[in-house]
Amino acid sequence: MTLGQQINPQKRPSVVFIAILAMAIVQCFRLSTHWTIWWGLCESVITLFVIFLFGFTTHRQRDGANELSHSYPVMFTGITLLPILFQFVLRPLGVGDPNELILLNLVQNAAVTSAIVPISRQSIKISGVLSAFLVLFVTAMTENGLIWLMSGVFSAAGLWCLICGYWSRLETRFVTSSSQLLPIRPIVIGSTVMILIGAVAVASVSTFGTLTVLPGFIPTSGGNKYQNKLARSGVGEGDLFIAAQDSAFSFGPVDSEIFLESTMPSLYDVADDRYGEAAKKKNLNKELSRSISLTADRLKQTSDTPRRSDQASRQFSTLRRLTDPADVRLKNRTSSALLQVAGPTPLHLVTERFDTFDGIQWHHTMRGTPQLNTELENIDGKPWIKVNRAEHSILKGKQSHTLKIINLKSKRIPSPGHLAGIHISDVDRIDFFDQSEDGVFQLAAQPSIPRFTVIHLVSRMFSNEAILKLGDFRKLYYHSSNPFTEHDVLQNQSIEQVHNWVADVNPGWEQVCAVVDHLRTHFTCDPRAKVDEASEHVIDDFMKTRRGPDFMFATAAAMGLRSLGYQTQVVMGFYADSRDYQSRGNQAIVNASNLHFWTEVHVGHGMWIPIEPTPGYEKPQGWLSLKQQISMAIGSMLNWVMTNWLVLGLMIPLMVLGYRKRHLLTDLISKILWRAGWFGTTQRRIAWTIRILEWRARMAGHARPSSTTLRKWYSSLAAKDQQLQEHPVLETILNLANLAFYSPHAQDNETWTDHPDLYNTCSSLLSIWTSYRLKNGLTKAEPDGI
Amino acid sequence: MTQNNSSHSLENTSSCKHQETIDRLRKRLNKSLLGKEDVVEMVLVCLLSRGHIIFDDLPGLGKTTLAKSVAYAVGGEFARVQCTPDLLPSDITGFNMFNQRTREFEFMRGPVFSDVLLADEINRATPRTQSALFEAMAERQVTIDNKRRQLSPSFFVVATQNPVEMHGAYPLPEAQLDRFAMKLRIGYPDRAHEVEMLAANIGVSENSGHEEEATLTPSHLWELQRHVSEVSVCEAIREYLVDLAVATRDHPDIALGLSPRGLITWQNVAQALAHLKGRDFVVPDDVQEVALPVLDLRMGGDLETSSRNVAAILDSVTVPVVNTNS
Repeated sequence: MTLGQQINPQKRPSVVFIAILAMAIVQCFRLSTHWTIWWGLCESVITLFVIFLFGFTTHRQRDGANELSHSYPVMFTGITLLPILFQFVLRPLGVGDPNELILLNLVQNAAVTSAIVPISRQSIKISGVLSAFLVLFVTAMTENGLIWLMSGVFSAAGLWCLICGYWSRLETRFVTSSSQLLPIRPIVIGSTVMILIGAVAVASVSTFGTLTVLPGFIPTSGGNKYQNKLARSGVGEGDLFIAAQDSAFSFGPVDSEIFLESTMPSLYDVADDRYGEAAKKKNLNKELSRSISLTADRLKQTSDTPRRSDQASRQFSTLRRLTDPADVRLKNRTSSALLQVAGPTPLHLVTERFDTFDGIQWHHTMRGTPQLNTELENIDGKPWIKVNRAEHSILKGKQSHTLKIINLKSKRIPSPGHLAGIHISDVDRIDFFDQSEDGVFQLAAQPSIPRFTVIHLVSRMFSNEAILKLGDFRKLYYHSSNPFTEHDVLQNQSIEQVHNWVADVNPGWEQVCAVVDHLRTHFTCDPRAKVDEASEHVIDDFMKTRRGPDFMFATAAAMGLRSLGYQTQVVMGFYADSRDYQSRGNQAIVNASNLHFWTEVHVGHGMWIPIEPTPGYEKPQGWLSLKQQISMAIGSMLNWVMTNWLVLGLMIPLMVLGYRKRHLLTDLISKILWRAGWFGTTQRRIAWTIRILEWRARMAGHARPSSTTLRKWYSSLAAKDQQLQEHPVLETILNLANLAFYSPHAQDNETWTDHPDLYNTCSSLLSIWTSYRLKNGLTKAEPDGI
Repeated sequence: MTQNNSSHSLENTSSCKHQETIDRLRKRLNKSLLGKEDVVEMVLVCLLSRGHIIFDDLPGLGKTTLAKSVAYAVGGEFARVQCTPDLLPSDITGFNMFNQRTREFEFMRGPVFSDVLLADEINRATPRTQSALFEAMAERQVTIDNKRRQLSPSFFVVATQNPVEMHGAYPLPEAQLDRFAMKLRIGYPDRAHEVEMLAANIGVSENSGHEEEATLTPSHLWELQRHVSEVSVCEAIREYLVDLAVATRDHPDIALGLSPRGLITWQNVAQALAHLKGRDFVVPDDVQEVALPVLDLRMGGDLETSSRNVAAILDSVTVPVVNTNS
């Protein structure tokens, strides 16, 4: 294959830079949409590596001839289609791309390949056009500030290339030799930097919203008098941003107090948001009761049992009517955090316990929950409410957490199961706290915990080994009939199913774990799973479908274990996920999505141990000895390795390859840098070439000692390599360097008239004096210092 | 890799005609002292920088031959003084003698009134005589009977001293040594050059240098010396030289650091070396190349110690690679 028009070697690196910049913009857009950074980096690095490898091999094959290999079209097509190949690997892993992004990637690869391995001058032009298209498209599709900034840099770089190309053409057409006295490129760069600094300064003194509504700057539809129907964003709803007086669909500030009501969600608001509203089941008996008056004997019979209104008044229905998820786009949120947790995660924070289940709803009956004694204790000058618990070998160690209530309207203090102490700054009265009927500590006289209250909690941990040593702890139960053992809502089939799960398991904690493990491994957590509202046996249906939200798991575990004779209750609370941990604030954010249900099992002595039957949620962390902690750390590390085996499998060979070929990479990068920095006076260009040479020598382990002159050092290096010794270019460059650095005539243009081919001379030097050659050719014999 | 001055691409920046003369001079001196190109180069450096040389070496290594060759090549008057303890200052500078016929005092010129003076075994002369010679070397003039007399503008002293047989010798004090530009050690030639020397019968005839026409005249030499003084030394190089001088003063093994006069001499010889290499500006290589002969003279000690100290000093100072004015 014959090359087309001769490629201008001075222009190529600029186009390569532009193409890679466009690639970076596309990848940023891709990451901003859905991707994780590691996968994106991995794919980009592989793609670039393949393209540069292709360029390197093509350059070697060409070797000065005007011929290209016949495999060029095949390789070019293969690289262009690389994103599709990646999808075959990525999509099964759940990190694939939508089709439009794949198309963008195809164009991107074509642009970068055309720039790095051009077949003709037209290839370079096509690469520039494709890069510009990519940047324009991506910029139009996103409002990401970083991408806009990068697009600005791209525009400046593109403008720079166009101007330089224009001046280069003028130079070659009208003058035989010229000296570029006017530093065009620095001026262009300087102007661009000044504009960017100005833009950043304007942005820094005003909010982004203010900036976007500057008249005429960006079309906007509201917030000020300037409006434009072509607006793509604005303040509020623009024309619709009017007072809610004329139309029910309108919205805006009015004098009515209705808008002053607190928007803080209560626990039930949070539950409704997360699980949907409780579905009201049509009850034939209730309808009959409207028409048939109650008889006296029946009235007496019903008054023997607590009326529903006398019960805890707190209940949770497992029959929920799913609603469409709220618009959770980030820009529409102010602050979604209900509370912040500092301390070890994952953490199960109890807010409410339910002990009675009627087949549809969970209630609390106020039976069987012991009230714990508390006392005020001063620790390090701070008042702590100490919770007195009976000491037992099950409880070992302590852990402390700090909660900050942000946006939760509840008087209950979300707390770990075995709470041992509470401290709120400056609260030194014990009657400030009390316990709810289900054993959760709460503020006694407050309707809710004030916002931004910081609560310090200390809790005890339980030892799995100690629980295992208890054996069959059912014998420790002293209430033969209490609400914790009712399981008659389950059908025999389900009960039999649960019994099968623990058929060969020892009674006690091992059976509990077997049930939990079975639910975690054989069932699927699906918050959007539909439940038949007409069903009379919700849990039995769940046992059949094996799919449902977390409260179904908790209920199924509780009922299943009850059918085995264990006392259980269901807990509603918050799950502080370790994945929500933010290293910046050293805390985990808890919001409505962290509302969670789990189960507690009574192991005797009034101790309730939390279990986690829902897959996807980590089990409550028990107390661990040092040996267990070490083995767990090793296990976690191995688990991480196994989980990320694909990334590691790709990254490690790439890193090894990168390390082994670091000198080739150094040569490649330094050549690109050299070309990018090839501007300014002749003195500067020579100095830049020497700097690149010095960098290569340093990378090859032959850094010039600062007290040794250029000539001495590089002459001694050249003496170790036959080809370097015979090539006259070093002598020429060293003489030019002396002239540039030390001659009083260096700034006179006449001085350099004898060196019109300075570019080729310097380029020739960098082609010969490569880091690869310096490393591999001179390793055996170190040059003398002086 | 050696620098090929003839093919130096920067020749246009210097005077080509001077280069040709220097090449001829270099060739002639190398012919008289075989296998000692580096010594000859340093002799030329001193000659062009108007500095004086002291050879510190064993007898019979070619010191006198080289000095005479320089004198014949320059085309000036050559004089030789064999220094002994009974040598008087007037034997060096000259004296007034009463002429009976004209009944007037006539000045009888001493050997310092030559263009090239060889002071053999200078350390055997008394300090008084040495001082008279050093005054002439430093000021290029002598004062006799209150009358000042100028020496030749191209006055060039080649002194020798024998490092052995120090009995009865008067070692030159450091202050006096500073009047020289360099201390050179010739050393024995290698085997091949000794064979070549025998074959060519070099040194058999004392007047062998006379047979050739002088390569340049004293006025021509003066012209070359003037050009050397115009060789540019950029700010970075001057800073470098001062840093090196400070390093000699801070070095723990050197009792007496480089004096300002020595620093000026160092710059002058670096300029001369740059000119010899066809440049009109000094580079760090020039400074480093003349460091050993310049500092060896002023630091004292044997060659090994001097080499070690000079290497340490050069290692301690960063070479200015990029001209900050660019």
